[in-house]
Amino acid sequence: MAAMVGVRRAWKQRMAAWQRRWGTEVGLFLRQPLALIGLALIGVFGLMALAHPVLMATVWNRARFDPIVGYDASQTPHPHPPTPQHLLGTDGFGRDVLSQLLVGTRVSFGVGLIAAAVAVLLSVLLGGTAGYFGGWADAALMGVADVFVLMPPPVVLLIFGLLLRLNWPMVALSYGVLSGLGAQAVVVKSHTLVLRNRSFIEAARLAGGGHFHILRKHILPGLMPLLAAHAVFTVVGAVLTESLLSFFSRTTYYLSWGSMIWMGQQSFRWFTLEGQWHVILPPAFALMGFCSAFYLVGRALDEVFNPRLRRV
Amino acid sequence: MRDEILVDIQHLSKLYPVETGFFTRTNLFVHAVSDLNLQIYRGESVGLVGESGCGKTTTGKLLVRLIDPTEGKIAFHAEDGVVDVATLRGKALKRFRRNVQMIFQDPYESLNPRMTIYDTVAEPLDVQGIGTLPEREERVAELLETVGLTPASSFMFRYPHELSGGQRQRVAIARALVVEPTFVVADEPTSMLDVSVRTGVMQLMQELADKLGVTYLYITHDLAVARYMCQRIAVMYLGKMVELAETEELLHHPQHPYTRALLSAVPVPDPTYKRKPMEIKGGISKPINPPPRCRFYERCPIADDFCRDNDHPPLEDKGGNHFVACYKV
Ligand SMILES: Nc1ncnc2c1ncn2[C@@H]1O[C@H](COP(=O)(O)OP(=O)(O)OP(=O)(O)O)[C@@H](O)[C@H]1O
Ligand code: SF4
Ligand SMILES: [Mg+2]
Repeated sequence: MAAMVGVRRAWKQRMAAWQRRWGTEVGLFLRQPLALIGLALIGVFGLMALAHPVLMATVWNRARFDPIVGYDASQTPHPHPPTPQHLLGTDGFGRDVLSQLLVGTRVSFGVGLIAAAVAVLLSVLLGGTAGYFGGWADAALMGVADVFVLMPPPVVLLIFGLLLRLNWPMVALSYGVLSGLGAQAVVVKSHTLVLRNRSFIEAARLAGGGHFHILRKHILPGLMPLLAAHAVFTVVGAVLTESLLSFFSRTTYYLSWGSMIWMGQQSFRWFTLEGQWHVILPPAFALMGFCSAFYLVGRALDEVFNPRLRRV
Repeated sequence: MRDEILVDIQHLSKLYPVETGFFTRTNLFVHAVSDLNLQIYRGESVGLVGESGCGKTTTGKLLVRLIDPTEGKIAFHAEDGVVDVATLRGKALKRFRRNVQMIFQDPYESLNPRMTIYDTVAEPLDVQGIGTLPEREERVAELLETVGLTPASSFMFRYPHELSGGQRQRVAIARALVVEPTFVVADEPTSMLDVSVRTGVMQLMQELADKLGVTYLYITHDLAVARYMCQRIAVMYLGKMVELAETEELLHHPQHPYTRALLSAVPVPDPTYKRKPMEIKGGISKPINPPPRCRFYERCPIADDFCRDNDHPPLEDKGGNHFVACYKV
């Protein structure tokens, strides 16, 4: 009996299958309260980052609200506690803290996402090639990875910072390179090796598939969950490292949560809790919130893709 | 039809270096397959039987060129001429892949869990650029029904984890047959399946052989399975072929002491037939740099000094296409 499967119907079934597959995984992901909290927080930070240019263009006067060169002469002394005009007050230089906080969000997203993209790309190139091709490519590339494993990104970046002033794209890039070529490449390699030795790869070779076909259709999709987890954890690490560098003034002068915290602790007496809490607490909480958000998403991804963690 | 050679294997060997350390170069080799000679005729099914680790899978993978031989020739008689499988490259290798396929032991491993059944079965068509999308869908649907996954439309866009072991192996069979190969290596295709579905899969493979004229090399460690599936049986021991004969001839008149030992472990379905039991000592080991004498010497109950002092016996015709590699039969 020849089966008639109309093209249109086939596409519908394909969609349904796709939904069943990703539906369960997305469902598992969304069923976790941690994931929802994480996503919601990321959403809030996203809105904050978007809000800054909008507010600058509409209600905020550039001279008074610019995060770096703004100054409000009508409210002295600085730092000034919150007022209806400056919802989070001003810092020691008379600049609006809320405006700074929003710009800092943008920098954090920039640092985190660039670092994650670079790290994932490099770890796949290095670890994937080593794991898939093996042999001398493996030995050579893993030699490179071994060197990078010995260089924890925050430490190396602090040393970089002593030698030259870094801007945030440099921080992001270096963090991405260091973590991508180091530990992440090693993990991607061992994962690739496991995938490569499964017999569906042999079946793909028997089908006539070359390396490109196998990497694209079998290896890369198999690596995706791992890469997603790496990406979110890289965001956390990169943002924390950037803050650390900015806090110690090892970066060029741009605004980030780290430099805000440094600014705040100038006017904050730690043990008596006297002074201007409104300068230091907003960036501190923002930093914690941002990192927790991505961490929670990472944990939730792990729960979905590593069945041994899954509670049935 | 019986006389037309499809695959002609000459002096085929595969040696694996034994990993001793990262920097030390080893001169120890596992002789996984060693000087194997076999002619497979168009339309027949040859069983390859032997204990675990004797080189069955290695032989199968050599024949479909998943691994490269250390030595030897595999002449494959395709419609458009004879090719040497061992040296195929590029376009010629890709064309060869349309003629020869393999079915793997473990259907849980051989299907990509992230691909639908359709995508898995259509992969060879996709890679080889055969047909348009509607034609491929048509072909896959037809084939799924042929292998007993009916109605095809309810299986095509499922994922492997939504199928049972037997159904998965049927999918793997469909994938192997989608390019209409002439020769299929089946590597213990039923050994990982529930006993209840084994017969079904075996029957299917036999039907397909008749219907599509496929030639099988059927790898198994189970003589009963080989008897059901194959016209001829080759027995392997530690990388060497020790006996080759027509199925019934081999089962009723085994000559090599190893075959006789294997058979005395199998219950005889025919109560009128009496077989002398043969006991062998010890277990199978790895053929690492084996000494130049009969591979079976250590376990052979009838070995003598001649066996010890001479090289591994050649495979000789003992009459009626019954080949045995033993000095004492
Ligand atoms: N890639 C490899 N590297 C090194 N040794 C190998 C490799 N593949 C197989 N071998 C060795 O070659 C020998 C034959 O292996 P093979 O898998 O062909 O046996 P088999 O007859 O298929 O066994 P089984 O019944 O367990 O599947 C074994 O000793 C095995 O350890
Ligand atoms: S050649 Fe000798 S050792 Fe080898 S199987 Fe025959 S009798 Fe046994
Ligand atoms: Mg095997």
